[in-house]
Amino acid sequence: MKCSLLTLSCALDGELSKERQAELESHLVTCERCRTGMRYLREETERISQLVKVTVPAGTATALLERAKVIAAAQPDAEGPIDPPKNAEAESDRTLVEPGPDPFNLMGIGSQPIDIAEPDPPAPATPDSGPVEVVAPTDSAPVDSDLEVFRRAPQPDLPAMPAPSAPDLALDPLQETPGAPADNWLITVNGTPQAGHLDPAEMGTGTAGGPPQVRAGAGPAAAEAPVNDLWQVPTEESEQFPVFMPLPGALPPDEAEPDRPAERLAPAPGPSPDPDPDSIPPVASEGVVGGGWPDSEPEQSTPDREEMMQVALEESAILGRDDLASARSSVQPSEVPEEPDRLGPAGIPPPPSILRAQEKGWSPNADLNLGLPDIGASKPPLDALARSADRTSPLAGSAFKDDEPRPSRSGFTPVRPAAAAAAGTADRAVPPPSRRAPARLHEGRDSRDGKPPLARGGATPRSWTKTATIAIAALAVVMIGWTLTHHTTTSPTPGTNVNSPSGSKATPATSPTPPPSTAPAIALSGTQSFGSSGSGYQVQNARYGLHQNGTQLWVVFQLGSGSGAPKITTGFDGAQTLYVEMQGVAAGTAVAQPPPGELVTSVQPGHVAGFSGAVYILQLSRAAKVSGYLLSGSPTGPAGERVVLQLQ
Amino acid sequence: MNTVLERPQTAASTLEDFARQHLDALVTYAIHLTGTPEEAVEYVTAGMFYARHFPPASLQRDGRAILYRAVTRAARQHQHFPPQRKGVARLFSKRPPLISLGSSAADANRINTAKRALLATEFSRRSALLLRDLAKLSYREIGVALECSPEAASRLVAAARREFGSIYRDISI
Repeated sequence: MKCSLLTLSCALDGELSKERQAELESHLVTCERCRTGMRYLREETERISQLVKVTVPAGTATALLERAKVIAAAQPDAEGPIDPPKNAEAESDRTLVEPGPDPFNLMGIGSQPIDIAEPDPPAPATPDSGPVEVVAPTDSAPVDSDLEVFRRAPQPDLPAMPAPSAPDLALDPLQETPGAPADNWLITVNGTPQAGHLDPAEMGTGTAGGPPQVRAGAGPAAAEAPVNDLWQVPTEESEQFPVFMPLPGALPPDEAEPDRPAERLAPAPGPSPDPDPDSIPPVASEGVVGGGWPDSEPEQSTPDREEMMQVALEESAILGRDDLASARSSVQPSEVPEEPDRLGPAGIPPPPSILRAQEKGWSPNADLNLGLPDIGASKPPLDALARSADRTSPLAGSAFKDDEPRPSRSGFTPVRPAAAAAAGTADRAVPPPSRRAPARLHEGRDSRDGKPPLARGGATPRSWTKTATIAIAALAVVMIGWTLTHHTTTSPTPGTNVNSPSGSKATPATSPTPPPSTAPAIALSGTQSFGSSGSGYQVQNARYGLHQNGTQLWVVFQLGSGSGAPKITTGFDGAQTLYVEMQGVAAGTAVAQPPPGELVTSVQPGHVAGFSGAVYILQLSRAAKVSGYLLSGSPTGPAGERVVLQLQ
Repeated sequence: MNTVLERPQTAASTLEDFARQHLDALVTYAIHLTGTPEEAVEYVTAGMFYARHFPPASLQRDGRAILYRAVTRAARQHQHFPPQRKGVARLFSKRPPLISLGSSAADANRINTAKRALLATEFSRRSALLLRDLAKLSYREIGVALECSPEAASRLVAAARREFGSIYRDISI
């Protein structure tokens, strides 16, 4: 019979046949290895069997089974047997969502449910009930006082929802009834109990279709929003989010697209989070950037406006008016017609091309700001639309007037007109970026100018360079500080293999310990220290054990109780004499000697000049590597620190 | 002729009986399998929930092993019951009250060398070791619980004992 751990394990469990058991017993008589293995297996079996057993209280067991719907399935309520849910996720999601209020509607805004019938009799209002709260009905089975498990509530008085006609599933006991009505719950709205039927589709389970029966969190305003098939009627809420709403008949028939009402009802598209660069309209003509107006409209010549703008820029440079807006304001009042306040039915209806550009995420305002010559001059209606859209943009927040300084993004330095004019690049002067025209447009502008594109968000490469420089400097400071600290208070990591004696094949010491305060009489090599400072310890005994398949000899000095972690220093005097200095530790009276034939032949206490605390001299039979560390008290063994030396 | 099986509600009483009979052992197994009483309760609850879907015949045939199978599957796949919310909404979700297991669970949760070694072993080996030495299941029952053959269960138990013993002796000095 061959030695086999599987056979030993099976024999220990009594799963072997009689013949195999007899063979194993005869084998164990002669095989020491298998006897040792059998002893180990028994020890491990005992350790596992001695783990603490848990006794679940009766009430807890009932609550746990109720939560798992085991008991509820065994006790059908007045409405009949409860069908199992489609899946655990759906049912447990409902369990999670129902008890608490809507996390995003904590203020109770618009939380009046609809289609909820009054219960009979009404349940008492919960004092701390939220806007919408689902609680267990009061007439349900008593719940353990320690627990509040949300359970199914038998509601015989409530009107039962008509269940869809389900196929006969009697042939499959595990088949669930699709579309079966969900649980009935008592719902309190601001403390007033109401009864209703929670539709699984409303809870996001997706187990049933159809319109929701209870719309928790959806207020009457949302339910009664006047929306027709094609157009959204402006309401008070829509003031903050302007919608391009052409007047009836403003669009040609080919632009109407009656088959896409959803897009018509959507608000005006703001800047896309990651717009396609190709969606930016190319330069239509010199000085005019963007999609422009439809081709049907004639292109207006702007030489007079350019001249006036140049004059205005020169004046602003002379007068020190560094604000571009002032230059614009000096030109526009006499030239630009009065702008509408906002887009919409009261304003000028945008042409279809603008609508298409808006749907693609293009902002006419941003493109108009790309160059000075066409500021507010070439396309008055377009500029009016742009600035109006900028003021009423949901991203803009508060409206900025043109003569107000706009907050610039971090790292963005707009080119002032005066400086630009002085540099001869007035036509490249750029106003502060529009909030609807983020970095993507500037990327395109810079790429056209041959400059490196700006980072997303408006940060310049210079700012990134500065940030990276600061980060590198901080990292260097931290590393220098860590290095200084490490070299001043050297404490090797416990368990590292270092410090081989001279003459051995091991790796030489990498971070030797600074010598003690008084120079020792013996110059040790390959010193290693661990621990910091401790006192009150005394060596009680020493233990020895083989680990890692017999390749490592562990010498463990068991210390008594003390304070702190004693500092242990080891070092070699020659290749086969290991000194162990334990500062703050008193030497033991008698220390057990290692068994014969091991790597360590003797352990003797000694006294060395310059050493403090207990000193032990370990004689080795050959050169070895040593690594050591401190261990705190063992949960199964004696308390106190232990000095572990691994010799290999 | 169609063979009409009994409805699951009929077997629920059997499941309840099984569950009440072996609930202590199941919770003990789950606590030592997962390391935390809270997760253990959630896994046991999830296992009970899924055990409702087991056919009555398998419940009668496999008995407690099928309950251990359900709990083991829940623990292996981290199926909490009720499920843990994901995303930002979990910060606002109201957790159901925890089921208190009493002082015995705290004792079982106390870490010692054996538990450290046990938690350091691989999941399937840990479960096999607990099923054999703690729950005292046979190899056939372990095979049902771990969804493998009895021979594979025996090899799993042997390997688990070897790994557990090796780790225990390494950390117990």
